[in-house]
Amino acid sequence: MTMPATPSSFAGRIAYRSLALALRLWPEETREWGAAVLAEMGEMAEPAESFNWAAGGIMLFFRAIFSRALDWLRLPSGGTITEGVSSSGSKLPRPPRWTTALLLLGAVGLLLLPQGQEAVSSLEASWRHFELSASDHRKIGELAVRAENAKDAKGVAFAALSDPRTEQAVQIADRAVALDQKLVWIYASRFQRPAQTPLNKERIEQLQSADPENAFVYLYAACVEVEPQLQTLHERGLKSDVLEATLADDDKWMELMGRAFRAPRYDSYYDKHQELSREVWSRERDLGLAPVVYSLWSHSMPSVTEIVTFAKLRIREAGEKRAANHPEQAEQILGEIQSFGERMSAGTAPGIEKMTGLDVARRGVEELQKLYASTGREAEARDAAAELARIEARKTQMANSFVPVYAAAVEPYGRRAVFVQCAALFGIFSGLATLFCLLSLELGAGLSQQGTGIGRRVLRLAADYGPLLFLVSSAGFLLSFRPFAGFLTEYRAANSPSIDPRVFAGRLFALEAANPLAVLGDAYVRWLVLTVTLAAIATGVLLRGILRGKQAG
Amino acid sequence: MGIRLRVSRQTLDLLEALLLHPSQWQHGYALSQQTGLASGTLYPILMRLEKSGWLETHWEDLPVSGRPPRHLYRLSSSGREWAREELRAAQQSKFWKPAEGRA
Repeated sequence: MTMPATPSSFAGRIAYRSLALALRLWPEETREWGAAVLAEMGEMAEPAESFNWAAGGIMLFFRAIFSRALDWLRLPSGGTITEGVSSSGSKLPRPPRWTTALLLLGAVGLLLLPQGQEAVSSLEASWRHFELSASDHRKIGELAVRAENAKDAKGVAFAALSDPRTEQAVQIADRAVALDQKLVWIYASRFQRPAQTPLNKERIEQLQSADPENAFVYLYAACVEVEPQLQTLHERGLKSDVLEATLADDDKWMELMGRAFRAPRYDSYYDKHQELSREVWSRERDLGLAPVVYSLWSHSMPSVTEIVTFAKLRIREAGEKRAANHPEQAEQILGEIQSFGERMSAGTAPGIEKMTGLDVARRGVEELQKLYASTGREAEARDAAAELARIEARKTQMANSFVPVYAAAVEPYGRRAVFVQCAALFGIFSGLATLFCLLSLELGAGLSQQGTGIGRRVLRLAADYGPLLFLVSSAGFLLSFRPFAGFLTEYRAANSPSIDPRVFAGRLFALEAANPLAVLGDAYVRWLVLTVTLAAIATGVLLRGILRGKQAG
Repeated sequence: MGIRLRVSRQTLDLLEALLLHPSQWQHGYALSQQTGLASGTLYPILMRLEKSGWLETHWEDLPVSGRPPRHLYRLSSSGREWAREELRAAQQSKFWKPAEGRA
């Protein structure tokens, strides 16, 4: 085929060159027709006619490309239009490429559904032990900016509570409080330790003036007050007598703890924190699980050591009053201790706070009973003994009742988590294996078509049926994650009953603990896997050499 | 030849043009001028006819000087019979009219 003479007009030349270029890219099997269209171009005198003729040729070119693409899709993986297809080496039919593509799109589509995205991100967070990823940091930062622009104080507050970069988090918290003064409690929900948090006196006073009747704000301020000294004591090896003496000498701490013990209310803001997380998470679903978990798990707890130490110091003071013949003052001090403990153990505070409260109340009542007995107030001593028995019963009931509740609420999730992790691993394995086999066949199509060895047959079989396995495992993964998705949806629902934080944590720990790849974190296991793999490869190479030697012989 | 070809009005026009001088080889541009079909319509029909076995094709053996060889077309003997039958049927069903009738 020689090239025709180019048309003389400019438009004709442009049309001719376009068609000539298309001819170079024209599929081999119909290229002759492209050449036929091009060969006629020298016949046209009118530029417009040349142009129209070439446009028709270009249209023909695209039809040829489309038709070739359809033919290509009708072939199984690795098959070429010119060389055809070899059988898979098994009795199973080889599916065409369009089936493979549909199956892969179906699998990926499932994982891109909102439910799929949540399942994938939750699983990935469990593999990271719910630590925040770079993507989580970015999303939190974006939320802070977006929420501030929209004057959404709760969104900004959530960003402050879930941002691990403390200095930045405090600044974000300031912006949230500036937008809504009622959110001042967030200062006490996260920024407990001064070593981690530059929470200044101004913010603490703001907190106290916003909620002056809440014992927690004074406990929090006392903790901030004494933290540097305790840090030093911890470094030197903390001893309880030294601790008591140090704290007793700190007038500011004593005053703040006294105010906490006398305050009429106790609220550690966990419910508020949980409610805020739910509300923001329910409208910011893209945030994922890790920031919510990080935020809730880093919620401030009161210092049990400081509360118990203050109770002990006050009991000692009551003893001194009793010895100085002021039993009414001793009674008042012990009464304060009992009341504080009862306030702390009441309400919806997390379990550890309730248990601490009961322990403090028990200490106070125990001393009251001794005081009444030693001063001949028999009836009051009996009442105190009955109160003591009631407190002990509550402690026992709390400890015992939680175990079956926890077991019922968490244990089934342990089994479900195994299904989730196995389905996910199977999905990842089948997806990667399919991708590898498809790429091997498509990129080395000629080589693969010629090969008849077992390796090639396995490659073709995996490329043909791997996408189906990937789809099935993706669907299996989504189905297995449904109980967790349901639990997370329930958690986000504004009107759902409050989920015990231990149950919430327990279910997520179950998901984390079921990760079979977690064993690879152990250096010994890593070495073992490496050694076994290398030994298997060496054995394979050796056996192959022996077999080939025998065949040659 | 077992392929059933969808016979459009444009195909019938082309068949009529090819039947005008059935034994004579014709090139695409001439067919386009006779039928008024644009190259984007004409060549897909020619390709289908060839694939069905109704059309014979070949490249000019001796090109005219200053002009490259061109692709030439004519109906095969079975193609001619088939084309006549299709034109007759289309005319009877009033689906199509010959060029003279349209003029």
